[in-house]
Amino acid sequence: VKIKSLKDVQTALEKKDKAFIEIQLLEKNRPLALKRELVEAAHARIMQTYNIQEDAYLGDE
Amino acid sequence: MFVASRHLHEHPTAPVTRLALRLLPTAAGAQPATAPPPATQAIDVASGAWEGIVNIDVSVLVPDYREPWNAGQPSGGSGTGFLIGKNRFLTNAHVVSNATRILIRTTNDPEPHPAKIVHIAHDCDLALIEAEDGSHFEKLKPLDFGGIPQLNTEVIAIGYPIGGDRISVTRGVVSRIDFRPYSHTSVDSHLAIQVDAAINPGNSGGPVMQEGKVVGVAFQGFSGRVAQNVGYMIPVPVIKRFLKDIEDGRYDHYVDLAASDFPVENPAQAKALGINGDGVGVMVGDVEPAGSVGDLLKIGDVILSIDDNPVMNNGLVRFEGELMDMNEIVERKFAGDTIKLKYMRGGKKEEATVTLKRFDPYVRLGAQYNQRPRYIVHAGLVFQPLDRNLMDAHQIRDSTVNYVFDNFLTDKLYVERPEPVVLTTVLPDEVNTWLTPYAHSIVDQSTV
Repeated sequence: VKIKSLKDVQTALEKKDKAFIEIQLLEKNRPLALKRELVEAAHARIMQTYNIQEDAYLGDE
Repeated sequence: MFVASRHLHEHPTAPVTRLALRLLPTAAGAQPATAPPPATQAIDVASGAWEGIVNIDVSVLVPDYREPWNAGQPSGGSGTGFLIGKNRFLTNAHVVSNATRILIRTTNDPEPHPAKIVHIAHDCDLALIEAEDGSHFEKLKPLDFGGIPQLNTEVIAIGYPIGGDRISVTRGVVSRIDFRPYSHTSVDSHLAIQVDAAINPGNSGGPVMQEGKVVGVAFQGFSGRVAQNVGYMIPVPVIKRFLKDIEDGRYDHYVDLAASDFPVENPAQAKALGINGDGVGVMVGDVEPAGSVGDLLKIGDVILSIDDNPVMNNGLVRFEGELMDMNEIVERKFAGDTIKLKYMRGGKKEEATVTLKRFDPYVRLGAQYNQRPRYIVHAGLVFQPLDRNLMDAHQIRDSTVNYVFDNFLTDKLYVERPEPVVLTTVLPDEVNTWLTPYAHSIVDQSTV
Protein backbone atom coordinates (compact mmCIF):
# COMPACT_ATOMS: atom_id res chain seq x y z
CA VAL A 1 0.00 0.00 0.00
CA LYS A 2 1.45 3.35 -1.05
CA ILE A 3 1.27 5.75 1.91
CA LYS A 4 -0.16 9.09 0.80
CA SER A 5 -1.89 9.96 4.07
CA LEU A 6 -2.27 8.81 7.66
CA LYS A 7 -5.46 7.04 6.66
CA ASP A 8 -3.39 4.83 4.31
CA VAL A 9 -1.30 3.69 7.29
CA GLN A 10 -4.44 2.60 9.08
CA THR A 11 -5.68 0.79 5.96
CA ALA A 12 -2.34 -0.98 5.54
CA LEU A 13 -2.13 -2.08 9.17
CA GLU A 14 -5.67 -3.49 9.10
CA LYS A 15 -4.66 -5.99 6.40
CA LYS A 16 -3.49 -9.21 7.92
CA ASP A 17 -2.55 -11.31 4.89
CA LYS A 18 1.09 -12.01 5.70
CA ALA A 19 3.13 -13.20 8.65
CA PHE A 20 5.27 -10.05 8.65
CA ILE A 21 4.52 -6.33 8.60
CA GLU A 22 7.03 -4.76 6.26
CA ILE A 23 7.38 -1.00 6.02
CA GLN A 24 9.43 0.75 3.33
CA LEU A 25 10.82 4.13 4.31
CA LEU A 26 11.55 6.84 1.78
CA GLU A 27 15.22 6.95 0.73
CA LYS A 28 16.08 4.22 3.23
CA ASN A 29 17.30 1.06 1.58
CA ARG A 30 16.46 -1.33 4.38
CA PRO A 31 12.81 -2.15 5.13
CA LEU A 32 11.49 -2.32 8.66
CA ALA A 33 9.91 -5.68 9.52
CA LEU A 34 7.87 -6.95 12.46
CA LYS A 35 6.54 -10.44 13.07
CA ARG A 36 2.77 -10.16 13.13
CA GLU A 37 2.05 -12.69 15.88
CA LEU A 38 4.47 -10.87 18.19
CA VAL A 39 2.96 -7.49 17.32
CA GLU A 40 -0.53 -8.56 18.27
CA ALA A 41 0.70 -9.73 21.66
CA ALA A 42 2.87 -6.67 22.28
CA HIS A 43 0.29 -4.04 21.45
CA ALA A 44 -1.67 -4.16 24.72
CA ARG A 45 1.56 -4.32 26.71
CA ILE A 46 2.97 -1.22 25.02
CA MET A 47 -0.27 0.71 25.46
CA GLN A 48 -0.21 -0.05 29.17
CA THR A 49 3.50 0.62 29.63
CA TYR A 50 3.30 4.05 28.04
CA ASN A 51 -0.14 4.88 29.45
CA ILE A 52 -1.69 5.40 26.02
CA GLN A 53 -5.48 5.44 26.13
CA GLU A 54 -6.16 5.51 22.38
CA ASP A 55 -3.92 3.86 19.79
CA ALA A 56 -5.05 6.25 17.04
CA TYR A 57 -6.64 9.60 16.45
CA LEU A 58 -7.30 10.31 12.79
CA GLY A 59 -9.26 13.52 13.19
CA ASP A 60 -12.90 14.43 13.02
CA GLU A 61 -13.36 13.67 9.36
CA MET B 1 12.52 37.52 14.39
CA PHE B 2 8.89 38.54 14.39
CA VAL B 3 7.20 38.03 17.69
CA ALA B 4 3.48 37.92 18.21
CA SER B 5 2.74 39.99 21.25
CA ARG B 6 0.56 37.83 23.51
CA HIS B 7 1.83 38.27 27.03
CA LEU B 8 2.70 34.92 28.55
CA HIS B 9 2.03 34.71 32.24
CA GLU B 10 5.06 34.83 34.43
CA HIS B 11 5.48 32.10 36.98
CA PRO B 12 4.28 33.48 40.33
CA THR B 13 7.67 32.93 41.91
CA ALA B 14 9.68 34.24 38.98
CA PRO B 15 11.61 37.41 39.69
CA VAL B 16 10.12 40.51 38.14
CA THR B 17 13.52 41.73 37.01
CA ARG B 18 12.81 40.42 33.52
CA LEU B 19 11.75 43.95 32.71
CA ALA B 20 14.55 46.43 32.85
CA LEU B 21 12.50 49.53 33.55
CA ARG B 22 14.51 52.67 33.04
CA LEU B 23 13.18 55.86 34.57
CA LEU B 24 14.12 59.07 32.86
CA PRO B 25 15.84 61.52 35.23
CA THR B 26 13.95 64.68 36.02
CA ALA B 27 15.99 67.83 35.81
CA ALA B 28 14.84 70.52 38.21
CA GLY B 29 13.94 73.65 36.34
CA ALA B 30 14.26 72.00 32.94
CA GLN B 31 11.77 73.10 30.34
CA PRO B 32 9.85 70.57 28.33
CA ALA B 33 11.13 70.32 24.76
CA THR B 34 7.68 70.75 23.34
CA ALA B 35 4.46 72.29 24.52
CA PRO B 36 2.16 69.92 26.41
CA PRO B 37 -0.53 68.34 24.26
CA PRO B 38 -3.85 70.15 24.15
CA ALA B 39 -6.31 69.16 26.84
CA THR B 40 -8.72 67.81 24.22
CA GLN B 41 -6.39 64.87 23.68
CA ALA B 42 -6.68 63.78 27.29
CA ILE B 43 -8.95 60.82 27.90
CA ASP B 44 -10.88 60.38 31.10
CA VAL B 45 -10.89 56.62 31.52
CA ALA B 46 -13.82 56.94 33.92
CA SER B 47 -15.89 58.49 31.11
CA GLY B 48 -16.41 55.06 29.61
CA ALA B 49 -15.15 56.12 26.17
CA TRP B 50 -12.67 53.27 26.17
CA GLU B 51 -14.56 50.85 28.37
CA GLY B 52 -15.18 48.66 25.34
CA ILE B 53 -11.46 47.89 25.30
CA VAL B 54 -11.04 44.79 27.44
CA ASN B 55 -8.26 42.77 28.94
CA ILE B 56 -8.38 39.12 27.85
CA ASP B 57 -6.94 36.50 30.16
CA VAL B 58 -6.51 33.08 28.60
CA SER B 59 -5.77 29.58 29.88
CA VAL B 60 -4.23 27.47 27.16
CA LEU B 61 -3.59 23.80 26.50
CA VAL B 62 -0.71 23.49 24.03
CA PRO B 63 -1.04 20.25 22.03
CA ASP B 64 1.74 17.73 22.60
CA TYR B 65 3.07 16.65 19.19
CA ARG B 66 5.81 14.52 20.77
CA GLU B 67 3.35 12.34 22.69
CA PRO B 68 0.15 13.12 20.80
CA TRP B 69 -2.03 10.85 22.95
CA ASN B 70 -1.48 13.21 25.89
CA ALA B 71 -3.83 16.11 26.65
CA GLY B 72 -1.16 18.77 26.19
CA GLN B 73 0.78 21.32 28.21
CA PRO B 74 -1.19 23.88 30.26
CA SER B 75 -0.11 27.48 29.85
CA GLY B 76 -1.60 30.94 29.94
CA GLY B 77 -1.37 34.45 28.60
CA SER B 78 -3.15 37.72 28.19
CA GLY B 79 -4.00 40.20 25.47
CA THR B 80 -6.48 42.89 24.53
CA GLY B 81 -9.78 42.99 22.67
CA PHE B 82 -12.39 45.61 21.89
CA LEU B 83 -16.11 45.82 21.41
CA ILE B 84 -17.22 46.17 17.77
CA GLY B 85 -20.91 45.25 18.10
CA LYS B 86 -23.42 43.77 20.50
CA ASN B 87 -21.39 41.40 22.68
CA ARG B 88 -18.79 41.02 19.92
CA PHE B 89 -15.14 41.60 20.81
CA LEU B 90 -12.39 41.61 18.19
CA THR B 91 -8.93 40.37 19.11
CA ASN B 92 -6.00 38.47 17.62
CA ALA B 93 -6.28 34.77 16.86
CA HIS B 94 -2.97 34.21 18.65
CA VAL B 95 -4.41 35.67 21.86
CA VAL B 96 -7.08 32.97 22.10
CA SER B 97 -5.47 30.08 20.18
CA ASN B 98 -5.65 26.72 21.98
CA ALA B 99 -7.67 28.41 24.74
CA THR B 100 -9.45 26.30 27.33
CA ARG B 101 -10.76 29.28 29.31
CA ILE B 102 -11.15 32.94 28.34
CA LEU B 103 -11.91 35.72 30.81
CA ILE B 104 -12.49 39.35 29.85
CA ARG B 105 -12.65 42.45 32.01
CA THR B 106 -12.84 46.18 31.42
CA THR B 107 -10.47 48.65 33.01
CA ASN B 108 -13.16 49.89 35.42
CA ASP B 109 -14.66 46.51 36.28
CA PRO B 110 -12.40 44.15 38.19
CA GLU B 111 -14.79 41.22 37.77
CA PRO B 112 -13.69 38.73 35.10
CA HIS B 113 -16.39 37.49 32.74
CA PRO B 114 -16.11 34.12 30.94
CA ALA B 115 -16.04 34.37 27.16
CA LYS B 116 -15.83 32.04 24.19
CA ILE B 117 -14.58 32.10 20.61
CA VAL B 118 -17.24 32.78 17.97
CA HIS B 119 -14.94 32.78 14.92
CA ILE B 120 -11.18 32.44 14.59
CA ALA B 121 -9.08 33.10 11.49
CA HIS B 122 -5.50 31.96 11.96
CA ASP B 123 -4.46 33.00 8.44
CA CYS B 124 -5.06 36.67 9.25
CA ASP B 125 -4.57 36.44 13.03
CA LEU B 126 -8.04 37.70 13.96
CA ALA B 127 -10.74 36.29 16.21
CA LEU B 128 -14.18 37.28 17.36
CA ILE B 129 -15.16 36.38 20.92
CA GLU B 130 -18.28 36.94 22.98
CA ALA B 131 -19.01 37.05 26.70
CA GLU B 132 -21.05 34.08 27.86
CA ASP B 133 -23.28 36.58 29.62
CA GLY B 134 -23.34 39.66 27.43
CA SER B 135 -25.55 41.70 29.77
CA HIS B 136 -22.51 43.13 31.56
CA PHE B 137 -21.40 44.84 28.35
CA GLU B 138 -24.73 46.03 26.97
CA LYS B 139 -24.17 49.67 27.91
CA LEU B 140 -20.69 49.90 26.44
CA LYS B 141 -20.19 51.78 23.20
CA PRO B 142 -18.64 49.81 20.34
CA LEU B 143 -15.61 51.32 18.64
CA ASP B 144 -15.98 52.50 15.04
CA PHE B 145 -13.61 51.72 12.19
CA GLY B 146 -11.76 54.32 10.12
CA GLY B 147 -9.74 53.70 6.95
CA ILE B 148 -6.08 53.24 6.05
CA PRO B 149 -4.14 56.02 7.81
CA GLN B 150 -1.62 58.00 5.79
CA LEU B 151 2.11 57.83 6.28
CA ASN B 152 3.55 60.02 9.04
CA THR B 153 0.16 60.59 10.66
CA GLU B 154 -0.26 60.07 14.39
CA VAL B 155 -1.88 56.98 15.91
CA ILE B 156 -2.31 55.66 19.44
CA ALA B 157 -2.16 52.02 20.53
CA ILE B 158 -4.41 51.10 23.44
CA GLY B 159 -4.33 47.91 25.43
CA TYR B 160 -3.16 45.99 28.45
CA PRO B 161 0.56 45.35 27.84
CA ILE B 162 3.13 44.29 30.40
CA GLY B 163 4.11 46.88 32.95
CA GLY B 164 0.84 47.26 34.85
CA ASP B 165 -2.75 46.15 35.18
CA ARG B 166 -4.62 49.24 33.98
CA ILE B 167 -5.24 50.31 30.41
CA SER B 168 -2.20 51.71 28.62
CA VAL B 169 -1.76 54.16 25.75
CA THR B 170 1.29 54.60 23.52
CA ARG B 171 1.66 57.05 20.68
CA GLY B 172 3.49 57.02 17.35
CA VAL B 173 3.21 57.61 13.63
CA VAL B 174 2.45 55.40 10.65
CA SER B 175 5.90 54.41 9.39
CA ARG B 176 5.14 52.06 6.50
CA ILE B 177 2.25 50.39 4.67
CA ASP B 178 3.30 47.11 3.15
CA PHE B 179 2.48 43.50 2.38
CA ARG B 180 4.09 41.62 5.29
CA PRO B 181 4.33 38.09 6.71
CA TYR B 182 1.97 37.40 9.60
CA SER B 183 3.98 35.52 12.22
CA HIS B 184 1.06 33.61 13.76
CA THR B 185 1.09 30.95 11.02
CA SER B 186 4.45 32.01 9.51
CA VAL B 187 3.19 31.25 5.97
CA ASP B 188 0.56 33.95 5.42
CA SER B 189 1.27 37.47 4.19
CA HIS B 190 -1.23 40.31 4.07
CA LEU B 191 -1.32 44.06 4.18
CA ALA B 192 0.17 45.33 7.44
CA ILE B 193 0.89 48.80 8.77
CA GLN B 194 4.10 49.55 10.62
CA VAL B 195 3.93 52.06 13.46
CA ASP B 196 6.55 53.35 15.87
CA ALA B 197 4.14 53.42 18.81
CA ALA B 198 5.36 50.88 21.36
CA ILE B 199 3.55 47.58 20.90
CA ASN B 200 4.47 45.21 23.67
CA PRO B 201 3.36 41.75 24.86
CA GLY B 202 -0.24 42.13 25.99
CA ASN B 203 -1.04 44.82 23.40
CA SER B 204 -2.05 42.08 20.98
CA GLY B 205 -5.63 42.42 19.81
CA GLY B 206 -5.92 46.00 21.01
CA PRO B 207 -7.10 48.87 18.82
CA VAL B 208 -4.78 51.34 17.15
CA MET B 209 -6.76 54.55 16.77
CA GLN B 210 -6.68 57.79 14.85
CA GLU B 211 -9.12 60.62 15.41
CA GLY B 212 -11.32 58.41 17.57
CA LYS B 213 -11.65 55.60 15.05
CA VAL B 214 -9.98 52.21 14.89
CA VAL B 215 -7.44 52.05 12.05
CA GLY B 216 -5.87 48.73 13.00
CA VAL B 217 -5.39 45.90 15.47
CA ALA B 218 -1.95 45.72 17.14
CA PHE B 219 -0.52 42.26 16.55
CA GLN B 220 3.23 41.84 16.21
CA GLY B 221 6.57 43.53 16.40
CA PHE B 222 10.26 42.87 16.20
CA SER B 223 12.09 41.72 19.25
CA GLY B 224 14.04 44.58 20.85
CA ARG B 225 17.24 42.69 19.99
CA VAL B 226 16.49 43.08 16.28
CA ALA B 227 14.92 46.51 15.81
CA GLN B 228 13.56 49.36 17.88
CA ASN B 229 10.09 50.92 17.63
CA VAL B 230 8.87 48.61 14.89
CA GLY B 231 5.36 47.42 15.64
CA TYR B 232 2.67 46.25 13.25
CA MET B 233 -1.08 46.48 13.11
CA ILE B 234 -3.63 44.63 11.02
CA PRO B 235 -5.29 47.32 8.87
CA VAL B 236 -9.00 47.86 8.38
CA PRO B 237 -9.27 46.18 4.93
CA VAL B 238 -8.03 42.90 6.44
CA ILE B 239 -10.36 43.29 9.43
CA LYS B 240 -13.37 44.07 7.25
CA ARG B 241 -12.59 41.13 5.00
CA PHE B 242 -12.62 38.84 8.06
CA LEU B 243 -15.91 40.31 9.29
CA LYS B 244 -17.50 39.95 5.87
CA ASP B 245 -16.25 36.36 5.49
CA ILE B 246 -17.96 35.29 8.72
CA GLU B 247 -21.29 36.92 7.86
CA ASP B 248 -22.57 33.55 6.62
CA GLY B 249 -21.71 31.94 9.96
CA ARG B 250 -18.38 30.36 9.06
CA TYR B 251 -14.88 31.43 8.12
CA ASP B 252 -13.79 30.30 4.63
CA HIS B 253 -10.12 31.34 4.71
CA TYR B 254 -8.16 33.40 2.22
CA VAL B 255 -8.08 32.53 -1.43
CA ASP B 256 -4.89 32.56 -3.43
CA LEU B 257 -3.68 32.72 -7.01
CA ALA B 258 -0.97 30.22 -5.95
CA ALA B 259 1.42 31.56 -8.56
CA SER B 260 4.61 33.48 -8.01
CA ASP B 261 5.92 36.31 -10.15
CA PHE B 262 9.35 37.25 -11.37
CA PRO B 263 10.26 40.90 -12.06
CA VAL B 264 10.97 41.70 -15.70
CA GLU B 265 13.76 44.27 -15.43
CA ASN B 266 16.15 43.17 -18.15
CA PRO B 267 15.35 45.06 -21.41
CA ALA B 268 16.25 42.11 -23.63
CA GLN B 269 14.08 39.79 -21.56
CA ALA B 270 11.17 42.23 -21.72
CA LYS B 271 11.52 42.44 -25.51
CA ALA B 272 11.70 38.67 -25.84
CA LEU B 273 8.49 38.35 -23.83
CA GLY B 274 6.76 40.86 -26.09
CA ILE B 275 6.46 43.60 -23.44
CA ASN B 276 6.45 47.02 -25.08
CA GLY B 277 8.56 48.84 -22.49
CA ASP B 278 5.86 50.81 -20.68
CA GLY B 279 6.73 49.11 -17.38
CA VAL B 280 3.59 46.98 -17.38
CA GLY B 281 3.77 43.19 -17.11
CA VAL B 282 5.34 40.77 -14.66
CA MET B 283 6.50 37.29 -15.61
CA VAL B 284 4.96 34.20 -14.03
CA GLY B 285 7.77 32.48 -12.11
CA ASP B 286 5.88 29.43 -10.91
CA VAL B 287 2.36 28.03 -10.89
CA GLU B 288 0.91 25.55 -8.39
CA PRO B 289 -1.19 22.89 -10.14
CA ALA B 290 -3.68 22.82 -7.25
CA GLY B 291 -4.06 26.61 -7.18
CA SER B 292 -6.69 28.92 -8.69
CA VAL B 293 -4.70 29.53 -11.90
CA GLY B 294 -3.13 26.05 -12.06
CA ASP B 295 -5.07 25.19 -15.23
CA LEU B 296 -4.58 28.61 -16.83
CA LEU B 297 -1.15 30.18 -16.43
CA LYS B 298 2.21 28.75 -17.39
CA ILE B 299 5.73 29.68 -16.33
CA GLY B 300 6.91 32.44 -18.67
CA ASP B 301 3.47 34.00 -19.18
CA VAL B 302 3.31 37.74 -18.49
CA ILE B 303 0.51 39.05 -16.27
CA LEU B 304 -0.64 42.41 -17.62
CA SER B 305 -3.57 43.29 -15.38
CA ILE B 306 -5.84 41.99 -12.63
CA ASP B 307 -9.41 43.25 -12.63
CA ASP B 308 -8.25 45.97 -15.06
CA ASN B 309 -5.54 47.19 -12.66
CA PRO B 310 -2.26 47.26 -14.65
CA VAL B 311 0.45 45.09 -13.04
CA MET B 312 3.88 46.71 -13.13
CA ASN B 313 7.06 44.83 -13.98
CA ASN B 314 7.82 44.37 -10.26
CA GLY B 315 4.43 42.82 -9.45
CA LEU B 316 2.93 45.96 -7.91
CA VAL B 317 -0.40 47.57 -8.74
CA ARG B 318 -1.74 51.01 -7.90
CA PHE B 319 -4.79 50.17 -5.83
CA GLU B 320 -6.89 52.59 -3.80
CA GLY B 321 -4.21 55.25 -4.21
CA GLU B 322 -1.34 53.12 -2.91
CA LEU B 323 1.25 50.92 -4.62
CA MET B 324 0.56 47.39 -3.45
CA ASP B 325 1.46 43.82 -4.32
CA MET B 326 -0.92 42.52 -6.98
CA ASN B 327 -1.99 39.80 -4.58
CA GLU B 328 -3.73 42.49 -2.51
CA ILE B 329 -6.52 42.52 -5.11
CA VAL B 330 -6.98 38.78 -4.66
CA GLU B 331 -6.77 39.19 -0.89
CA ARG B 332 -9.93 41.27 -0.81
CA LYS B 333 -11.92 38.52 -2.55
CA PHE B 334 -13.64 35.43 -1.16
CA ALA B 335 -13.85 31.76 -2.07
CA GLY B 336 -15.90 31.46 -5.26
CA ASP B 337 -15.35 35.08 -6.36
CA THR B 338 -13.81 35.71 -9.76
CA ILE B 339 -11.06 37.94 -11.12
CA LYS B 340 -10.41 39.10 -14.64
CA LEU B 341 -6.88 38.32 -15.70
CA LYS B 342 -5.13 39.73 -18.77
CA TYR B 343 -1.87 38.05 -19.69
CA MET B 344 0.50 37.54 -22.58
CA ARG B 345 1.71 34.20 -23.91
CA GLY B 346 4.13 33.97 -26.79
CA GLY B 347 3.57 37.62 -27.62
CA LYS B 348 -0.20 37.18 -27.87
CA LYS B 349 -2.59 38.86 -25.43
CA GLU B 350 -5.10 36.61 -23.68
CA GLU B 351 -7.91 37.25 -21.22
CA ALA B 352 -9.63 34.92 -18.78
CA THR B 353 -11.93 34.94 -15.77
CA VAL B 354 -10.63 32.92 -12.85
CA THR B 355 -12.68 31.51 -9.96
CA LEU B 356 -10.69 31.87 -6.75
CA LYS B 357 -10.18 29.09 -4.21
CA ARG B 358 -8.06 28.33 -1.18
CA PHE B 359 -4.70 26.68 -1.83
CA ASP B 360 -4.74 23.88 0.74
CA PRO B 361 -1.24 22.32 0.51
CA TYR B 362 0.47 25.37 2.03
CA VAL B 363 -1.55 25.06 5.24
CA ARG B 364 0.62 22.21 6.56
CA LEU B 365 3.72 24.38 6.15
CA GLY B 366 2.39 26.86 8.70
CA ALA B 367 1.71 26.59 12.41
CA GLN B 368 -1.75 25.17 13.17
CA TYR B 369 -3.85 25.68 16.26
CA ASN B 370 -7.03 24.56 17.98
CA GLN B 371 -6.68 21.01 16.81
CA ARG B 372 -5.75 17.72 18.38
CA PRO B 373 -2.64 16.04 16.90
CA ARG B 374 -3.42 13.07 14.66
CA TYR B 375 -1.44 9.85 15.07
CA ILE B 376 -1.37 6.05 14.99
CA VAL B 377 0.54 3.88 17.47
CA HIS B 378 1.19 0.32 16.37
CA ALA B 379 3.65 -2.04 18.08
CA GLY B 380 5.31 1.00 19.60
CA LEU B 381 5.77 2.67 16.21
CA VAL B 382 4.26 6.18 16.20
CA PHE B 383 3.05 7.52 12.85
CA GLN B 384 2.13 11.21 12.40
CA PRO B 385 1.36 13.42 9.39
CA LEU B 386 4.16 15.77 8.41
CA ASP B 387 3.45 19.43 9.20
CA ARG B 388 5.13 22.38 10.85
CA ASN B 389 3.84 21.52 14.32
CA LEU B 390 5.45 18.08 14.02
CA MET B 391 8.73 19.52 12.67
CA ASP B 392 8.91 22.05 15.50
CA ALA B 393 8.08 19.49 18.20
CA HIS B 394 10.41 16.70 17.06
CA GLN B 395 13.26 18.88 15.75
CA ILE B 396 13.80 16.38 12.94
CA ARG B 397 17.22 16.50 11.29
CA ASP B 398 16.77 13.64 8.82
CA SER B 399 17.65 15.05 5.41
CA THR B 400 14.81 13.28 3.56
CA VAL B 401 12.12 14.55 5.94
CA ASN B 402 13.55 18.06 5.78
CA TYR B 403 13.74 17.89 1.99
CA VAL B 404 10.09 16.85 1.71
CA PHE B 405 8.97 19.56 4.13
CA ASP B 406 11.08 22.34 2.59
CA ASN B 407 10.20 21.44 -0.99
CA PHE B 408 6.61 20.33 -0.45
CA LEU B 409 5.36 23.23 -2.57
CA THR B 410 8.35 24.20 -4.67
CA ASP B 411 8.87 20.68 -6.02
CA LYS B 412 5.10 20.03 -5.99
CA LEU B 413 5.57 16.95 -3.81
CA TYR B 414 1.99 17.35 -2.58
CA VAL B 415 0.73 16.11 -5.95
CA GLU B 416 2.07 12.58 -5.39
CA ARG B 417 1.86 12.53 -1.59
CA PRO B 418 -0.74 14.99 -0.21
CA GLU B 419 -0.06 14.07 3.43
CA PRO B 420 3.42 12.61 3.99
CA VAL B 421 3.51 10.37 7.07
CA VAL B 422 6.51 10.28 9.39
CA LEU B 423 7.55 7.45 11.69
CA THR B 424 8.34 9.86 14.51
CA THR B 425 9.04 7.61 17.48
CA VAL B 426 9.78 3.99 18.34
CA LEU B 427 8.55 3.35 21.89
CA PRO B 428 11.08 0.78 23.15
CA ASP B 429 9.72 -2.74 23.63
CA GLU B 430 11.10 -6.19 22.94
CA VAL B 431 8.91 -6.42 19.83
CA ASN B 432 10.72 -3.50 18.16
CA THR B 433 14.23 -4.01 19.48
CA TRP B 434 16.90 -2.36 17.29
CA LEU B 435 14.35 -0.42 15.27
CA THR B 436 14.96 2.95 16.94
CA PRO B 437 17.25 4.20 14.10
CA TYR B 438 14.24 4.03 11.76
CA ALA B 439 12.56 6.87 13.63
CA HIS B 440 12.32 10.25 11.84
CA SER B 441 11.74 8.68 8.44
CA ILE B 442 8.98 9.16 5.90
CA VAL B 443 6.81 6.08 5.35
CA ASP B 444 6.81 5.21 1.66
CA GLN B 445 4.77 2.02 1.53
CA SER B 446 3.71 -0.93 3.58
CA THR B 447 3.46 -4.61 2.73
CA VAL B 448 1.32 -6.52 5.19
